[in-house]
Amino acid sequence: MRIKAEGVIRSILFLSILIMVLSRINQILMPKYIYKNSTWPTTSTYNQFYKMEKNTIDVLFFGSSVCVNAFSPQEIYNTYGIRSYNLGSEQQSLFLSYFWLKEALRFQSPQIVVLDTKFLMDIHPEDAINTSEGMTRKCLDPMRWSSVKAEAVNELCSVDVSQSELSYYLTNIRFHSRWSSLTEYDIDMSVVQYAELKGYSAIVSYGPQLYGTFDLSDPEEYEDFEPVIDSLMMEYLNYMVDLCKQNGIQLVLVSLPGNEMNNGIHNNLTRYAKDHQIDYYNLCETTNYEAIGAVLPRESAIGHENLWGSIKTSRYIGKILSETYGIAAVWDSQWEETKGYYEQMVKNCELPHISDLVEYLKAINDPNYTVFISVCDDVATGFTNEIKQYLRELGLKTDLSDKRRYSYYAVMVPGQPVIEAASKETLTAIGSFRNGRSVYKIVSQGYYAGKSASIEIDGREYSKNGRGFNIVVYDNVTMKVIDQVRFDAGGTDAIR
Amino acid sequence: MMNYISLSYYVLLVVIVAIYYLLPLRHRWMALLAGSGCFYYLAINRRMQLVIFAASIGISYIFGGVIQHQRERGRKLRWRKLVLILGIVFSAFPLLGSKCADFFLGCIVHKQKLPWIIPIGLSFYSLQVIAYLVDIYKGRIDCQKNLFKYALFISFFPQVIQGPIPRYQQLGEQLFHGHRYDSDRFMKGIQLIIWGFFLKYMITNKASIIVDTIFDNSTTYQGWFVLVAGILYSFQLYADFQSCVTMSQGVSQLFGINLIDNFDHPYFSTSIKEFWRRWHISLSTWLRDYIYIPLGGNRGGQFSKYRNLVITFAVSGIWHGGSWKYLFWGLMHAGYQIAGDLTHGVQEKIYSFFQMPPGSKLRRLVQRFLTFYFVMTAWIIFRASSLKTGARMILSMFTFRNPWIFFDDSLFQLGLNQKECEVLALSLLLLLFVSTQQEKGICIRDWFVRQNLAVRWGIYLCVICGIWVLGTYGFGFEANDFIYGGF
Repeated sequence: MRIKAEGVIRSILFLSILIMVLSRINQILMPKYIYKNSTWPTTSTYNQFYKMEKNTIDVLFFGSSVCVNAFSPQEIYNTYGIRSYNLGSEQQSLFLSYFWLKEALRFQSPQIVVLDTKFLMDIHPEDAINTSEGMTRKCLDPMRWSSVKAEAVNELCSVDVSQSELSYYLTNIRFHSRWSSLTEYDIDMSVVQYAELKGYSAIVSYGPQLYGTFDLSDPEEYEDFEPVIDSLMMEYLNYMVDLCKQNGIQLVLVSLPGNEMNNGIHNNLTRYAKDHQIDYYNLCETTNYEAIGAVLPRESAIGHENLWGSIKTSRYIGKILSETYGIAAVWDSQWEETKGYYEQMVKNCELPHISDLVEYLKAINDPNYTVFISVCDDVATGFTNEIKQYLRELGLKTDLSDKRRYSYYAVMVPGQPVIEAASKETLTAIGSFRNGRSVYKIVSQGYYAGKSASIEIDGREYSKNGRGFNIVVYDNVTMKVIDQVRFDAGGTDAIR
Repeated sequence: MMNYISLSYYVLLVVIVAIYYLLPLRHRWMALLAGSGCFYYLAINRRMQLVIFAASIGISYIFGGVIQHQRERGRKLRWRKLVLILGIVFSAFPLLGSKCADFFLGCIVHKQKLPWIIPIGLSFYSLQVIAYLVDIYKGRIDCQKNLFKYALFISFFPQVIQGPIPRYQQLGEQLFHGHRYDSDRFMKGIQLIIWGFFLKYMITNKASIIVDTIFDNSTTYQGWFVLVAGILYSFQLYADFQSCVTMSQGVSQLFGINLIDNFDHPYFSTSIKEFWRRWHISLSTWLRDYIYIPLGGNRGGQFSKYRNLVITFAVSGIWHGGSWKYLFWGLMHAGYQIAGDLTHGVQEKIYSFFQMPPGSKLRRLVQRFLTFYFVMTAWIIFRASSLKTGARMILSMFTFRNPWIFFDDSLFQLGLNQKECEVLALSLLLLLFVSTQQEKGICIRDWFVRQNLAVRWGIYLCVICGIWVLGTYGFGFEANDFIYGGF
């Protein structure tokens, strides 16, 4: 009997170890979307959400990628003191919005839920829930296991029979082939846990020159419009309406500028909002769009809004939340602590738009940046004292004005001595930064040495490889290259 | 649908194992019968398959009783033979009908094949039934009087889909006599299941990606690509079939039942004749006992022997599928054996010229290499979409020279990237190592049992995690069935 008992205990112990190891492996194999590798960092967004103190969020945003780029909780807090969180994700259909709302209500009790209407339309008719499996998983996989997730997965797989329910539980079925492309943050998951921007993600590029706003031409048109409203999405909108009513939450529908808009969509959404006693804001309309006050092309509030456009949109929605719905300003350390991060992010976004060398040298003088400079061909021609001064302020000691056609490189890692060298021969340096986690290799060849410049970080080439200064700026906070630029010898304008 | 690598199969298995050991010894076979019924029901996609399967069992059970009755009564041989033939025809009609009709319609009159409803495991259980009836007729065994026990013998779930093809005298009593729980035997069963998964996920599924790419685009991939595909398919087929048999053996051992080995390291064979003693042993011995020997075997001179050989291998070919390519594949093997027999003297002279006496290591190595080469060439016909395509592919191996594919990374553009190819190569090396040890008579599982707990657990964890991570399965990979399950 004792031997049998020992056997049972051993088996249980082994199975426990095995399950723990396999669970950890599955965690590692799961794809992770963070600021470093994604424009829409769903993994860190949802992980951060679970870290928020209970019942501290007053406003929740739901919707697709355009929602993620439009509503900046930090900007809204900075301007109106309103505590909000953006739970949008790439191609988030209303099916997913509903289940994430349900999940969010387990931890938070918001007063307002703002829902982007883009995915009410049948945008992806080829997909059962109006979004692809990949996008669904980006949104659903980071959700913690509970009855909500089990229900979501079960519903999903009953609607979309091409998906395997088991693969949501045993995620290795879907992701085990990632073993050959694992990265640092797959193993060290600390970086995946935080999204300081609380679900918002910034786009850096400028928008178009013009945007044609929407003006209602027929208030009675309800049919024959494209794209059509998806019946399944409508069903889940009804669920969201009911869920909000049950929890005393005001649901607000918003159509963002750039969304598909016509009389039919506008009239149907207006009627739906009226029938269900909810509010609808069509920001595609001329009056609303003008009220946002975004000036193109820098302040693009169209489609995937850029940082400057989103600042305007966030302030606009913040004003509505404050004045129309009376959401009070509250001091909260969770938003206070990320103000600095937000400011730095804004600065990072400005950097790729600086075209003047002197301004650029001023901007990269930042303790968060690791800067790599490699000279190709020549840099001394047209070298001014002003440039020399700002290079010196960066900590560079070599006087390049008398190094015509020399090879030259410099590496400035925060907290470490500046590394630089100049020579007529080819110059090569290999080193590491981020406490040895990232490795760089820099090569400079002046006119005499072969005329090329290479800046490799973790095996990837970033140099523009043209005459003059080739500069690469790496942000140590988001762990990614935020700009790669060249300033030609004798010229001061950036070439990107 | 349930199969031998689906999670639902292992959930069912846990339930059957629990019930098996909870029942009294003499009733334990009932757990196996119930489990087999559940498995078969969950593995089929049309209920008619179950009806046909049950009908085969019922008919062969009745004929088994009748044949024994006639034998005991000493009825005339002519009548007994007639009843045996009727029993075989009725019991194995779905197999005989589908294979013959497919061949006739598809290859002779070129008409559309009939939409047969094929029960899973048809090719295997039909041979089992035929052997059972013939063995009763010959007086080697007595018929099973209990219909349910007989049904269990035919439908025993770990082997019903893909064999091995058991004889009643080998398996029957093991199934019906309950076995006591033996932890060592139980763990050895689990080891076999894990090894089966290793073969399936690390070799078969990986190799199939390259093999399918080349065979499905045979006009694009020629020359040395065909050679690569042929070699990989040889290992894919072996690993696939062996994995299924290993899992069947492993699952059976959980109940204390030993299934026969179906393979004995066939690619170590030094002749085609030896290859067929080592490959798909249960089918080879079946063909020998129920086709070749009844035809006269080696008796009656060289011509008769070669004729019997050709007929036996033609049957083997048609058993695999009703088309010219399978028939030709079977005839190729018959031709190999006849040619080998006829050129024996020449071969000896050549070996003697190169100073390779019988038994020398180098000679054995050359013989193994040549045997593998001929078998591999025949597998190309076997795997190709048609006989014509297969012949064209083989021809291109000799006429189209593109050895640069081994140096310019072309092989990594066939669906498996370099890392995956490296895993496949390492897995094949591990298979070679294990096979070599087994060929030397070393049982790795016995070595494993002697290790302390930490080592054993460490190896279990490494192997399971290795398959979990590095195996080829899941999303984007649909081939969940076993190749031989389709014959």
